[in-house]
Amino acid sequence: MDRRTFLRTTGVATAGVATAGCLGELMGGDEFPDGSVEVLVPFDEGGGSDVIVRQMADPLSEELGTTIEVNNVPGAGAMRGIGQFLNEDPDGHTISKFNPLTTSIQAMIEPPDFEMTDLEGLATIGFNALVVIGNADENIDGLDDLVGRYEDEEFETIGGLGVNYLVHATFFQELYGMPWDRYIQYSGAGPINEAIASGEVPAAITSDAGAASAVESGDADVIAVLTTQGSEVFPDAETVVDQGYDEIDFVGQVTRSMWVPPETPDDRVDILTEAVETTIESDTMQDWADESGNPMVYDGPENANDTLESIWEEIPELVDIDELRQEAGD
Amino acid sequence: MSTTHALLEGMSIALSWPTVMWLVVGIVLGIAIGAIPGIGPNLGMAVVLPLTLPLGGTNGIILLVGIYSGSMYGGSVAAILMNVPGTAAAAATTFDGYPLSRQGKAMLALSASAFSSASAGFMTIVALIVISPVLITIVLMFGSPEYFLVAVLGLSMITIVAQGSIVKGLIAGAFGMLVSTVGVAEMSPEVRYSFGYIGLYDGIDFVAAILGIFAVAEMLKLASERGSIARGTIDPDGSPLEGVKAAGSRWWLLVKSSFIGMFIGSIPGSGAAVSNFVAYSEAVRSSTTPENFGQGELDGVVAAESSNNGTVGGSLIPALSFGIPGSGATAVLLGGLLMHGLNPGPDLFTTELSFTYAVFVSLFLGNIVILVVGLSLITRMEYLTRIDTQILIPIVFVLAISGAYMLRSNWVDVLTVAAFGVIGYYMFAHNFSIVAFILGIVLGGIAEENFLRSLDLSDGSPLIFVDSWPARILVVLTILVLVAPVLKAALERSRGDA
Repeated sequence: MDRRTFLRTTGVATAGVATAGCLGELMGGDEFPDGSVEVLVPFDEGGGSDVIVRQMADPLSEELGTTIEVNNVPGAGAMRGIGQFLNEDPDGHTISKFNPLTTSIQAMIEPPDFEMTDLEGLATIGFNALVVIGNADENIDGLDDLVGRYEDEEFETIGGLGVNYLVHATFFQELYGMPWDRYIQYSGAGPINEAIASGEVPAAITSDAGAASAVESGDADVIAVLTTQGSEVFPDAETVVDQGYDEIDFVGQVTRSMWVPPETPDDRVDILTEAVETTIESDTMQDWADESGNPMVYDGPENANDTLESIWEEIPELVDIDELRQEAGD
Repeated sequence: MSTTHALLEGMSIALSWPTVMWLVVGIVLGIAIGAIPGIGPNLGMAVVLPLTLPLGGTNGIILLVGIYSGSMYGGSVAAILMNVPGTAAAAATTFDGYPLSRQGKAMLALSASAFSSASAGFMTIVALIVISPVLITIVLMFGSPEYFLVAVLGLSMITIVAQGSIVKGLIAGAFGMLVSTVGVAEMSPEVRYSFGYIGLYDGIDFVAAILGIFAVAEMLKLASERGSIARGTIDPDGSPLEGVKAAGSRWWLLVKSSFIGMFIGSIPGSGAAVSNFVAYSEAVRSSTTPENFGQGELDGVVAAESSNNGTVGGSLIPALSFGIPGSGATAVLLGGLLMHGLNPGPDLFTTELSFTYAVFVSLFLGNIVILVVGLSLITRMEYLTRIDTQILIPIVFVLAISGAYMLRSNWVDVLTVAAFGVIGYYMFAHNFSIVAFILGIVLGGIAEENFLRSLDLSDGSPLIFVDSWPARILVVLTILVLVAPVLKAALERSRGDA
């Protein structure tokens, strides 16, 4: 084929896309928001964060009076999306949602070329407690019994989500004297449930929402909740503190948080925060929260900032990150 | 609730209004999404996800599985007509579907594809309903060592599909596995071959590689020709029924490929991207005329297309029973379940069984829609094979490039399409097996992750790979696949000597 025909046909096919982009640029104004607001989700479509953001999109759009666009930028344990997010214009038109715990652990083990602590909080919109669960057939009677069985070498392995919950498993070793021998990584809550149900691992660290189906079906038992706030999914389950162990709240729950890029003007953050608060407290979101078992509770930007700060202060104090990296690679 | 009662209730839900309408909408939308290269079921379902909220749980999920099922068939359309697999699940369809189009027999291939897809859907969904009472037990028989052995069994198929030089086949397979190692390692935080570029941390996307290796490489080849894709004479009176008859007469291949698809679909991580190649390889292995494959052998289209729709039923097994996504599409489906407050888990096979059956029955009925749309409308699209390549090539380039970018909004995927377009062009030219390469790139990661996890579990002892019955069966099957060609040749030689 000749070059001229190729260029002409390709040009026609791409011109529409380019025109659409330019029109968007021209439709600005003085008010904020003066264009659509993008929510950057650093995970795949269909994941926990993605589902919540897509659920929030309509009511948030009504509050802000503009379109909400969900943009998934997955990869590198969320580091690709967060890296891109930190470089977005701090004009309030790009916000993001991800939990600061697992993403920070990822960044500690494989440091990216940006600082997670540069993030600025927009809101927190709920939390999921982390729990340690055990195979129901093992009849594990609380944390003492679990620790004892590792001491007796009846159990050797403990499961968890990727390298993320290796930190928790390490705390179990360091603070609770639980001498597990091998940490087994799984890629999600589903595979963890299957591994527990089949007896591939006797116990695992996972989120309460993730463990719900395995516990309800009788395949798994909740041994302890890792945050003193307890679990809304398992309100009767005892926390680690209830069972006489040290508090590890700063890693005991996954706080669903929303963020803005650094240096976003305060007045714009205020408008966004207010819209998020109204959205979360709306009947639509609260009905969905009840139906789906995803408790949605609003808290301000300072809560997101405090959570992020304590993670970065306390984890490196208690765990040797180099050793953690070494353990993750073994 | 008894199983029969749950099934009847599921049927009444599936047949009620507007549930039936949402099923039809889902299937038709899925066919369209699958037919456009690069969009695929993942993105299509994710876009529709929030729109399902007002529909309620059952209708919303049936709409989503309708899209998933429809896209499996839709992917074959561009694969047959333009050598551009609409989804990774239809990549093996290109091998014989596209040569048929070149011979002017696009309608035959398209109608055989529609019939194979729908029949596979019917059979595997019935099987799924039959085994559902013992499904959880079956799933729990497969752990990390068994998943690793399934991946090895898939890789051993390279020896079958590498027509011509076996060494070239092994090189292509090894190259695929090597490409699968780019990015963050499966079981440790090490980053491999990323050269410090964060866009490479998640590795090379195999869908982008497939788009490059099939679509772009074929367009590079076509650029040296004049005229249209169809080189043979097109029969203007050709009937879609010919394809139905031809596919129906290959009933054993159809049944076998459907259940290969279902089995592979039930293994997390592999999905239809693998099953269509394994079913195709098995069709080559069992054929009396393996040399015809790649030249427009209808067996190839039937095997690939029945396996990918069979995969849909299979992939629902880990997804519904333990919330394990077998593929990107089932990950979005799981998101849909969570969004509607339905927790994937064993409960879906006990207290929520009627809902699960409603989904299964809907999928069953959806295959009627695939058959009707496929035979009445899609076969008319053979017109595309008559368009001048000067028009077609730029369109395919734009679709492939934009499709690649849409995968993960990552420019690395666009570069991947371009690079693998060139690599694919030379692999075809020098007879390096594309199937072997695809098996390597898709199964490499699954094999690595489950191999390392198994050894972690056993504290380094390889005996874990023969510790259970399913594992032993898989080991024997792999050995059979590897030594069968040697034994067969020796047997034939001894017969010749006698």
